[in-house]
Amino acid sequence: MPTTMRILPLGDTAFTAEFPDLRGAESARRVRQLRERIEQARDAGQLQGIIDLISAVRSLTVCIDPDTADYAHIQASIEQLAQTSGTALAASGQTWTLPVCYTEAFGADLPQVAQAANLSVDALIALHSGQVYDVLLIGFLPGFPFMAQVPEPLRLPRRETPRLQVPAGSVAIANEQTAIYPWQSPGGWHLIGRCPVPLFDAHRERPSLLAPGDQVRFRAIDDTEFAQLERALAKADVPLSAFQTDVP
Amino acid sequence: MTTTLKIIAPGMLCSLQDQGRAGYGQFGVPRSGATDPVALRLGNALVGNAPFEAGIEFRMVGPTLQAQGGAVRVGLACQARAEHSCAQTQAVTPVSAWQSITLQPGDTLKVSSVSRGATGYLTLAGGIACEPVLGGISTYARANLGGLHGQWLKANDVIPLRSDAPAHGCEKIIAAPPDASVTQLSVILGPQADFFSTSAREKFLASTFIASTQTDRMGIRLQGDPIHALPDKGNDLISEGLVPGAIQIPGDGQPIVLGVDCQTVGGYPKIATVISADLHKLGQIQPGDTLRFKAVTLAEAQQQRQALERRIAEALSTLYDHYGAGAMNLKALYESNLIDGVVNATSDPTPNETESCKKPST
Repeated sequence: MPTTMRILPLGDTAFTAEFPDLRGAESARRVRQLRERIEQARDAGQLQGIIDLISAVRSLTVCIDPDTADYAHIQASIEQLAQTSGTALAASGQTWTLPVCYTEAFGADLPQVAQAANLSVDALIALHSGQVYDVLLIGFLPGFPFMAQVPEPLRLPRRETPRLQVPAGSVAIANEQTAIYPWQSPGGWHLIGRCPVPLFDAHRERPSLLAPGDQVRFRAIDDTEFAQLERALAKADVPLSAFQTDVP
Repeated sequence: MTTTLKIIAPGMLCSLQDQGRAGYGQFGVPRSGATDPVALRLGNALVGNAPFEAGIEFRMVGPTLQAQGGAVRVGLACQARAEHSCAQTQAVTPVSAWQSITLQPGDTLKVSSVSRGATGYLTLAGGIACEPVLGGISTYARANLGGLHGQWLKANDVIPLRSDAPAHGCEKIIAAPPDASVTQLSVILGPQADFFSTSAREKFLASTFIASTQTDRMGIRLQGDPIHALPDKGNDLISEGLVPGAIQIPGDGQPIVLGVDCQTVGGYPKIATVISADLHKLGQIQPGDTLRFKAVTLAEAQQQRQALERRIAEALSTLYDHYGAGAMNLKALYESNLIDGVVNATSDPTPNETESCKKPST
């Protein structure tokens, strides 16, 4: 049975296709599948005028150019594509192992999070880095990945007062999600470490390192390795593929 | 020597903006671009550029600029006056709104505050020689994208111009620019109209809201009678895609109209979305302005796009040659029937450039 999809209007140049009855991995899979079908149709010269597709956890937002696309036609075509049964996902996501230096200097909330979770800092690090996370979506800032699921003991609500400046590279947690801030920005998540790998580069073919459907695990590194990696990455001595792994 | 423009004083929130970069929402990259693309288009017409060539955007207070290395023709696209200081003669001449002016090397142009609306543009004949990033020159400072070094313009910045910029022919003026005041925005209800009761939706459409001081390129926070979501729906949504114009209702019930630099996903319910034909108005809203929303259908939104294009064409039909400060703009006067019956204006479409373009002071 095809799952019910509904279309929600988002002005006259976009709409959101939502799978309201699905949760978690199943909804993410359906969103990726719909996205791939739309991209295939677009590559085949159909569905002219789609200018952007924004993937979220259980929805896909389709942005169109009103000068070249017919809103009703695109909407009807996408409803049809969603009903098409069969076709498994063409490509699976990539798997990454990202280094993280978990220290108080890099993760200002490390002691408080450990205390709130009633864990030692070492146990906290073992828990956070012992998990494989799914990239749910990219948003908030260019390249900012929302990843789940944070192990139960580490799930804390967001800070009551957001920080005005979270340093770039900060690894953070809030509720069941973990993230890395690609840019210095305000932020309300708990900071527990820092990752030296740049998550966004406008000059890469895929500017965002991560994409929805990717899987990420973290590897704890010390200050020395962090500094070495940071220098090597700045000089492009280390290819980003070095952080990709075949098996999660 | 290449022609450049040096920022002597940056005014307020001064940045390079063009049409923005659509298509990168999937990577979390906002669209950015001019908050009032209509004003940018008209400004580019003043200097003979393509409609969405990048220009200098500013809010409320314009910058002071100096031409270096060559002559630069600049278009002033907003309701603001400016002063042109000639390096050679030391003469200071007033520049009126919506006109072009050519700066010789060393000349400065000081733009005053915007008297109507909130956002203005300085367009530059031939365009800016900055490398586009992800399809645009638009500045998105939070992620260091585009513009000049990815940042807001500041004093002593030097904007490189395309060296082949032509600066000949008559200056231009738009005699009848569009009205920048905003009182109403047309919206299409949704995507989360069902998060609100019928009476809450009616209240949203019947209320008058005031733009708060939190009004910028990311969005406009409004103040008014709070709009509350249904208790069983709440103000938390599983995050989904956003576009400029979407109207979020957070827990305090005060709407936020998202702007061109808005984030690409968010988790507040959106009661309605401003239609594309009205998005340019968001750039002209200033704190204290009062606003109402009007619900329209998709078909009406499409008609309003055509109506907007007609208004732009009408404004462009009043793009006349301009003979410099103090000179009477005869053609504009003829066409607005102020000198009715003296000369048949339609038989004299464009005055001869070589005779009428002599500058009075430079």
